[in-house]
Amino acid sequence: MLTGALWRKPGYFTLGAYGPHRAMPRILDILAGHGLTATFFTPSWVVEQWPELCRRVLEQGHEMAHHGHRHEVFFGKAEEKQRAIIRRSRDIFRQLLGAPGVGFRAPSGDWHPRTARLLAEEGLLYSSSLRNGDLPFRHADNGLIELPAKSLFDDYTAFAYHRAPNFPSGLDRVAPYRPVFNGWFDEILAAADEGLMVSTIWHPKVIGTPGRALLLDEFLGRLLDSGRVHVTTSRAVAEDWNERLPR
Amino acid sequence: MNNSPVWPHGARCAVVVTIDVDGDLPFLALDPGHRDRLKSRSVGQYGPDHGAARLLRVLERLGVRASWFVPGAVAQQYPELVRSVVQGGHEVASHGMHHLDFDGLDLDAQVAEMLDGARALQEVSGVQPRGFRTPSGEWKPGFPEVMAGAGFQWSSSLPGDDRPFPLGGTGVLELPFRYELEDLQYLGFNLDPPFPPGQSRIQSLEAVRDNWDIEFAAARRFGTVLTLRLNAEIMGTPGRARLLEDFLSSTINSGEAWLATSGELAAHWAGQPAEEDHPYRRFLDLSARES
Repeated sequence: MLTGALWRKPGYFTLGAYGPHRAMPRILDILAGHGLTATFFTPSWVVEQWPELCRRVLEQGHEMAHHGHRHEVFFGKAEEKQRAIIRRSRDIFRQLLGAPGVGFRAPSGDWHPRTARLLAEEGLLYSSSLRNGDLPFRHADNGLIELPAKSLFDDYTAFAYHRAPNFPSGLDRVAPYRPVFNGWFDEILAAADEGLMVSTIWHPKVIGTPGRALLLDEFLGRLLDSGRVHVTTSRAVAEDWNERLPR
Repeated sequence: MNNSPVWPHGARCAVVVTIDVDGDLPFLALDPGHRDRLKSRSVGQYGPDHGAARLLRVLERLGVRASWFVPGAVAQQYPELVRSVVQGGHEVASHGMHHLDFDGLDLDAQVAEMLDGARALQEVSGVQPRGFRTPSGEWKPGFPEVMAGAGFQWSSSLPGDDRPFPLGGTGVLELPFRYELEDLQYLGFNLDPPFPPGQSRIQSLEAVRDNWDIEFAAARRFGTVLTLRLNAEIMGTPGRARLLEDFLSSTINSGEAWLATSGELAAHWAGQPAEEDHPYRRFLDLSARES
């Protein structure tokens, strides 16, 4: 979140900006090496700051999707405020990327009981914000498709660390890298046995540092070698679901 | 500019060993009332009293020179240690006077902490420190300009990159550290007040070694700088010092690493063209507008 404290903390800012500046080119190279495409949920402020990078993401066949303007927490925000953020983000996507984007992931924490309906009204196809499910589903009252994503696949839970401000709040240790990737691998293959969908919640500044990027590359290779997993964008999954199970 | 950096002697990455010798200062800086808490102070005092000498022996056996960050008050209390560091061919760098938290200081107090510490270290070591590391917390706007004016050539204070970058137009180079390559993050522990605040378990040495091995493999692949940030009181126990010795041996034996001090890294990097779009430059522009 871009709060006032950030502008007094050059170390904290550069740690975050490592994501778009240093980690993203590395991650794009790794994905290209495997011939894979991914979805990048990106606050529109980041699109404004790094437009060339975001256009390169699209040019390489990946998906750009929404994540607030300044990573705002939607919970507790008035409906019209939420709508304004969604519209502004889509305007920025249209203007700088040439397309409005059809997907959304709620920024940190929680969203509002009405956020899903607002997204549907504003023309978005899907969200990937909730945790409750192993397959896509439709929000009953508004038709928005949901691609659930589990916290166990969030790289923050294993690897993110910073002091002052503290993350995690108790400053728990950075996890051993290899067991974390092995756990993700096992979880995905078990989901494959049941014919399900898995979505990761990775952050370039966390997964794209040198050591973790190296293991990410190995991990993707192992997934593809298993021959049991189809890796694609969130949008492709949502469109497929929309076609097969129309409202 | 995301091409791999070029390193001396055809090396594929750089490895820099940095060691903070803070003694009990961080504990005292939390609260002056801690003066009588001798057990907790002794946790930090293990560094200059025992750990530093062991780390010096490890480095001497390997022929590796490190950068030692010594607050002025530690230098005054342990002049023999500082002199043996210098005699061992290592580099000494400034780390404040009393290891005060920069987040609680205004610019003038930050500057005084840096300059007092550098002066005290120079008096003991006979060498003018050219590098500085903030004790903890972040500097206020204008601090890098003062560093430059005081003759500092580099800083190693920010966690935000895997290679050096210029601190705006000051001429001072930042040689960033990374949390994944710290001993404090994995192994630091104090009972009361608790560090880590969540009282998490000390990480296993096996896990630390494996993460560092992965980071070294990655540094070679991506051509980055692997900066170890160690503390004499944490890394200087027998078992951890042995881990360090084994790890550094593996980097030397690979034949693919350039082992350098921070000062040597800064000198090597000084001629590189700056990345115009580097996040630090963006921070300067945005923070002026946003705050």
